[in-house]
Amino acid sequence: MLSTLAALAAQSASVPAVDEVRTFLGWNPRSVVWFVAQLHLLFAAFVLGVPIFAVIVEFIGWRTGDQRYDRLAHEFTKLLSAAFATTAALGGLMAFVLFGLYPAFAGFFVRVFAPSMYGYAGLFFVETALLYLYYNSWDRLQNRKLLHLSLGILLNVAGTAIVFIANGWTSYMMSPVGVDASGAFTGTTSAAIANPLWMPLNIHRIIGNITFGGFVVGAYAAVRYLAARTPEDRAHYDWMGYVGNFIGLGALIPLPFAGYYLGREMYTVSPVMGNNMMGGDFSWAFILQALLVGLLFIVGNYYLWTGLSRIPGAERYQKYVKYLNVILVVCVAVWLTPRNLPVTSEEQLAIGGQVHPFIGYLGLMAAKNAVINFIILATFASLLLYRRANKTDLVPVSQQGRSARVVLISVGAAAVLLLAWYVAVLLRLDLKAYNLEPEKIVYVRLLALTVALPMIAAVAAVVLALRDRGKLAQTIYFLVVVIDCVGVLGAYGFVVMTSANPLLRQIAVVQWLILMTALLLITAIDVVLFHGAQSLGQIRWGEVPATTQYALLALCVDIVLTMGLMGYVRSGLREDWHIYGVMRDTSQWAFTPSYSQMARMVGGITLVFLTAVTFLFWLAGLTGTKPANAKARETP
Amino acid sequence: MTASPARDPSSNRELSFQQPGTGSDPPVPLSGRAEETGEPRVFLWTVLTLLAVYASLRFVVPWISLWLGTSQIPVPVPRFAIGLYMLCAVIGALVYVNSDARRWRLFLGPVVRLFALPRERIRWPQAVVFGAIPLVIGALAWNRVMPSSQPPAQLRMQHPTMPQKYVSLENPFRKLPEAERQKAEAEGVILYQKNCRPCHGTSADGNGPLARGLRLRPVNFTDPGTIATVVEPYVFWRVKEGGIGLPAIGTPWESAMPAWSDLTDDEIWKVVMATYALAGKEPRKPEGASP
Repeated sequence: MLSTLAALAAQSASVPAVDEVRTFLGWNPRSVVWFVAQLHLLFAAFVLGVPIFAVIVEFIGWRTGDQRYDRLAHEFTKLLSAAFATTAALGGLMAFVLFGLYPAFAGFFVRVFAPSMYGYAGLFFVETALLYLYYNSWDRLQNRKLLHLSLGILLNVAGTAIVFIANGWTSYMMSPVGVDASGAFTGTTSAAIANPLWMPLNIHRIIGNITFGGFVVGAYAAVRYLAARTPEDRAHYDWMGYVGNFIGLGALIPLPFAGYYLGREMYTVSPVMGNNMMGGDFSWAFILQALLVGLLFIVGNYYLWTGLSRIPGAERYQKYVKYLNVILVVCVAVWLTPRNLPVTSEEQLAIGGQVHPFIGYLGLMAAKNAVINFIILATFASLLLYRRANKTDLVPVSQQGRSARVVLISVGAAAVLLLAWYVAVLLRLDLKAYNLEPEKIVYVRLLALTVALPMIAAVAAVVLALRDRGKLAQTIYFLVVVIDCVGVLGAYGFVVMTSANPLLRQIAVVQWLILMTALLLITAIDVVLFHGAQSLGQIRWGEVPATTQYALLALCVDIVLTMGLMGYVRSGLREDWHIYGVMRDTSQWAFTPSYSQMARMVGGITLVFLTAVTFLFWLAGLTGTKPANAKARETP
Repeated sequence: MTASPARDPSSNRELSFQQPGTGSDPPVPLSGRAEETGEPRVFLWTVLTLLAVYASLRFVVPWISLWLGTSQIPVPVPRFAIGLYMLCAVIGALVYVNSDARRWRLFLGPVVRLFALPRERIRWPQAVVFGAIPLVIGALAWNRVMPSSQPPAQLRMQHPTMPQKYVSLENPFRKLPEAERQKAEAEGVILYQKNCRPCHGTSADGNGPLARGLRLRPVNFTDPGTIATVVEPYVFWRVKEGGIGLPAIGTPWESAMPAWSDLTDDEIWKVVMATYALAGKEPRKPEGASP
């Protein structure tokens, strides 16, 4: 039936000859759609991101038998149910304003995507049913956890399908397919959804939603912590905030690479759109983005460092904080550096322009990629310090039995095999497909060589760990990855960008693979190394400075601003096109909004979102579970 | 001789510091100078570190470009960049000192002592600081309202948006057989040396004989952040329309590049090809899909 509908769509859709745009109570229609769409996206990101980790947390609680996790997952889901109806209402409003204010565009859009829209609506019903079933059956299915978890997984499947369909519509506006020279849509709905930017956007948004959900949940916990009146509640919400920050930071680690992937695919779709993004109209937005994301990392790490005070034995690791802090700050400073500096007239004369002969290099992508990898490695190091803070008297790996050896060898083998696979991919690269001459193979071989170093380091790390030198193994492997990923590949990026620039994306992939394999293997070594270690004392949940909670609130505000800013960039990149290169916006409101307009709009959206979400969470709290102390007081 | 503890003038109780939310931890007294208690002078070290960062930006970084060979004279770091980096340094410093309660207490100690001491204990450091506050505010106000002949600093973008009509153009000489392509490139080099060399230099490094006469130096094409980062039609547009063809947001008043309308399109394509060859760079290429 869907294919029949798709065929119908293909026959009837064509770009309307005359664009029709209306105002809403005299307001700029573009701003109205912008406001409603961004607000809807923020709620949707929360509603789609939180179930992913709610199910994981519930699963951990089930397997470990620790009821705290179960209570936490339940509380996450309670927040979801409060936000869900608002998300749906805003989605409806968005459709109405789109149809009302841009009827010609919306008409064409519906003709292309109608079958998927029916599917979308159907999935929404399914998701609604699953969400309320999942939430309301929590207590009833306490003894049938597998069934309850299955509901949660199905909820995520429905949510992911919904976001994938919506991403198809959004990405189609940037990279349309199936429209001929006369403006007639000759493709199918499924092909239109699976446009070149669809999957990069899916990946970016799914990871982004988890980050967003983590930080919003962290802020909720922070408010509850600050308002808590009993040690029990403070302990619970301190822990909840920690989990929120952990999820947010954890998902933030792969997010820059997912964003880079999306950006590279935009370059592939249109080098002009790519240039506008990083070097043109929107380049300063990326400096703002660097500031916001840099602050996410700095504040997230600050939360971890401050939280060390609640862990007995953590003072042993305080000495490393200063080095991690310097790395983070220097890297964020490089990330923030624009290629063209705003300069005064005299400075312009002294420099001979606006590109500084040394600092100008820090404004190029190769430098940015290098420092992002270093930021991620520093954040990972902070998480490791946190993990081992109260542990001592390690049990040697050689005395831990077979399972420890199996873990180390299998994770090490997986890391090496993954890297080896990519070396093979590089060496078989079809240079012609990359528009590169055969003699450029030398650049590919050199790149493959840079992967060999961490492969050797990974093998050495496993061998050392097996011989009870786990900490040395981690240190060596970590240093090799820093030197290779940040130093060698950072510098090599400058070489490749001038001589074989299509390979730049391969450098980013290599950096990411080296980084991720290192994170996996070092974590595996850490787990084995500290397995069975003595504890210097329990973590004193609820005994942290209030500044940590303000940090969680700052992270939430920061991530909302970042989402708003990047929404402006992604949508603005289409310039004056409804659908890039296919259907032009001919109205007087088609201009690209200025940065000051963007700042006002994104700031306003952030305020409205945070106010609305605060109200909704307060509403959810009215019927929520009683705090732990209340139950305790009731117990005779 | 030991310093007497700082006291709240209203209640005569000793001033103390407690991180909010730390439950029943005893308050940490703020009195007691670091040098007397043997604890690190966090405030002093923080200030010294920030001063060292500032001094490096002012006096060390300008020489780096000279050592790297990317300029022939030490080039100062613009105020914007200094401000940006100092902002990062201050954020980093505050994050560091605040991430540990004891460190934060040691950092705040001198500040609190400065503001909390009773009138009869005011010494010259306090007098200097309190005297400097209105002077600094006055100086800032003066700088703010003082008439200036300098144009304000502007946000400049690296690659202003290329007009749509250029987007799909292709260099017709790139796809010719090698011998013909080389011939076209050689013709382009001649055109380049005739028309472009005076400003952009023989080897496209921005050091032509007329370059020093221009307020804004011509672009150095050997820099990896220039022509290597754009597709060929972009360079074609810049040559054909010059500085005056830049959109308003691309600050056309900050370019002396003429519009080369007396060259034919074929000649411009040849010049573009020659420029890349002379600079030892390649144009950005449209990319294929990932493997």
